[in-house]
Amino acid sequence: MNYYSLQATNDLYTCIGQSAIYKRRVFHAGFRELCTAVARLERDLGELAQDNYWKEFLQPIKHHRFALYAAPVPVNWQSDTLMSSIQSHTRRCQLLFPDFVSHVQTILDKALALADAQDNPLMEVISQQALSGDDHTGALLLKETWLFSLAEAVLDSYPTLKHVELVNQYQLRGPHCYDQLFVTGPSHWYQEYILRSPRARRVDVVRYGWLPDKWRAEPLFLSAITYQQPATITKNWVEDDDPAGQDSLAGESTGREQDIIPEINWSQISTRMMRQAQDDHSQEYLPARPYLLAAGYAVFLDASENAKVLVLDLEDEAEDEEDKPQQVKYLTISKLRPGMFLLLRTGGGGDYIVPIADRILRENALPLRARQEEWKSRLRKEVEAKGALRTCIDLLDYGAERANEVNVRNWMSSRNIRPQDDRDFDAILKLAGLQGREQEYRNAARQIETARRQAGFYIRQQLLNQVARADLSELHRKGYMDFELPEADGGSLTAFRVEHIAPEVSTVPASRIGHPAKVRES
Amino acid sequence: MNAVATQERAILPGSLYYQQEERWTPLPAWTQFLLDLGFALATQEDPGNRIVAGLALPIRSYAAPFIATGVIAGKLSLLDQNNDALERFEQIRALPIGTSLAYRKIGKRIKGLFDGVEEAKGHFMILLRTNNELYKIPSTLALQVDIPAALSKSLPRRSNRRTKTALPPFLSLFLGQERARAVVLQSHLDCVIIGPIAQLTAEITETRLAVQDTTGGFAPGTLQDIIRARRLAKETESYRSELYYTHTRELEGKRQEIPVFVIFDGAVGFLKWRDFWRCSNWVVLLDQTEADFDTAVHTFNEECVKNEVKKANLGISLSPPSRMPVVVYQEDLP
Repeated sequence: MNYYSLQATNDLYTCIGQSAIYKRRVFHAGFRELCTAVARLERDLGELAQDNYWKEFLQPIKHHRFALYAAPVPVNWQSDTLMSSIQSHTRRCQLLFPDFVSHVQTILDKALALADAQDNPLMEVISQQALSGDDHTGALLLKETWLFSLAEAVLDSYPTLKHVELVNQYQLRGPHCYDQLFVTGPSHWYQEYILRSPRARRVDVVRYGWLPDKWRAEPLFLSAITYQQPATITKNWVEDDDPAGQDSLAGESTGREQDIIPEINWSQISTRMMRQAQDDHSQEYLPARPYLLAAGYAVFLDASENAKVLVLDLEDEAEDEEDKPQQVKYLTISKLRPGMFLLLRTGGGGDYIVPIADRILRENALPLRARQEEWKSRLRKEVEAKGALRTCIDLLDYGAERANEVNVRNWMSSRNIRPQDDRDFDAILKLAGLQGREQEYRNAARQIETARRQAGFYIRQQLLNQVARADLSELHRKGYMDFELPEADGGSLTAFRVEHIAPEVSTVPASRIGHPAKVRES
Repeated sequence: MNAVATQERAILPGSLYYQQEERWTPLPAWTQFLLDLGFALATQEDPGNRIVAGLALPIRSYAAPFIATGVIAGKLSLLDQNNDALERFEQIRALPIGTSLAYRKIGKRIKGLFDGVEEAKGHFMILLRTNNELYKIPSTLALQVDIPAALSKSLPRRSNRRTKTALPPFLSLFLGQERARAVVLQSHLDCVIIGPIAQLTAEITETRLAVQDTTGGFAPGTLQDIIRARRLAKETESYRSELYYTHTRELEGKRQEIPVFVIFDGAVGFLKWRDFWRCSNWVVLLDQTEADFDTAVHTFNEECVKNEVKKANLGISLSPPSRMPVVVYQEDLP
């Protein structure tokens, strides 16, 4: 429960009242030249930039460029990897796109020129501006969690910045207020509250000078009737002048804003997930959407309209009608948003509910599951043989009420226990040649349903007990946390923060839904 | 418009203290602002119009309880309570004979059954029948008669119960004797807060406040002493406000009470319930860090554009805390 004392809340108001924001620009000629060369290539490529060759060429460069923009790493960070990636494409470029060889060569030269430079312009400004004294608290805000390990390594080499901790934007919402907050990159990369309602007495927004900072403190409410004008929002707002007029010399664009933050390669993420998941024998395919999670994980989640997922809700409501803790709850998947925490099975394998439900069913588990599988496999065979449409028509002839292709696929799924309506269930049993045994199959489904509900309740209770004891600040910081469930077959659930949600839905084997897979190093 | 003397606005909230490191300290300026805003909003009585305020807060904590306190203090400061009493009288008169009612007197709470109304010398009386007595309650005291939420037609075994209705010093020092008495005796739904109920409950009941008396001593209390949220009050106590959980199901199919003010504590509550409370005045509290903040601000602005709004003249100058945009407007009642 997010209950804060009046004193803590007052401290936050005091902090915000005093807060000053400084916008600081840094410059590095070599890095800028590399960025300009890349932008020039993209401009000259035009539509051709969508060609797979150029996508593959540009993606690691953009990734590299973004890391330098967004984290205080030296300009020669991973220059070997960058150069080998560029070189590996150079030969093919001569064959495929000879007109662009000079562009690629320029980029390679600029990258080569950076290889020996150990300058770290962002870090230099951060260390210069850092408040001195041991009793100060400080934080460095980074846009993506995968940047944390890069920044951590650099911070360790600056003894004067020992007090500075790395934070993500979700951590800057409670009443805690730092003495100083460094924000790397342009302001508009972050949620507006970072600057509108800063959690620090002093905020230093540090960015490379040629990156535009588009965020302006526009009035939130319609200005004609508001009591506070934007001028008061930008109180104590200091825009750093161009240090030595270096930016004005630039002249040439360094890339469009939408190209600066690298697009997430969802198809690559999906491929990696598919490679890592268990083999699928059911041949059951469902629409699913990929979600990118903290710590470099990703997961497919069911994209059907009413599908739900277990979440750890620390932000919204912490109680239900009876004021009972409700932090662990099922949420409709379509309501998931970045920043929320998903609870996924990470130890013990498979669905976390099924083993516990089977334990509740005791010796009945096997025969009951077999009965359920029997009608489902017969229904699947009907669909395979006649197609979904013909099966629907047959089911309607047998008295089904809601037989359509979507529902039939859902009924076939091992994730669904039975159709809600008895008439639909009876029609399936008739079609499956199980006429006369309706009561027997209904009873089996009812017992499985009851056991499943009890198992869900049991898991929730176990999780609630663990959440109550957990250090949730750690969860906010790292973006994930394991919860061991010793009584649930030694399994474990992990709460993962959702970082990005794919715009497109794809069709994947049902067995690959809900299983997180590591898709990149955190 | 029923205006209240400016000096009174300043006096009411100024006397609250909170505990800081075991010492009583005057409430900080931001809470003062919230109290003042609630008070100023509640004292704008303009039939045919309703008032809407929107605040973009750095954090949601305590905003709703302090505004509710200001609203209730403001409502009490309007000397003419006859309209409210008349409204309650009409409500009671429409009830079926035999409806269970409770009549509040100092030190007593009398339960009985409604036995109709009677007119004597041009004055209406509410008739309340207990096991052994018939009470005739003047219509001007109708606010001292509670209508229980669950209707019952059987008489309680004990209809006459002693209650702790002596005026708490905290309340009488904050509001003054007369208004404190009204708070203790009369139930009226001045305000509904819809939001995270556990946090609200803790803020309202666990935060120790005090009012300084003439000897320099401090009379302690909590915001619940003033707000009197119905769900947090004992059955025998009066109420002035009610709390609802953001995702409540309690309101479904329930007889719709129309509170004078609705405070939406959070974006979700506003987005979900705004159509339910169109006839009340609104205070919309949006935490700038919450996930639905942008959507709620957009919706709030759309409401302004859609309806013919005019800037509300609160009669006092409001100085919101730094980086807290505030908007107040009036619009025609639907």
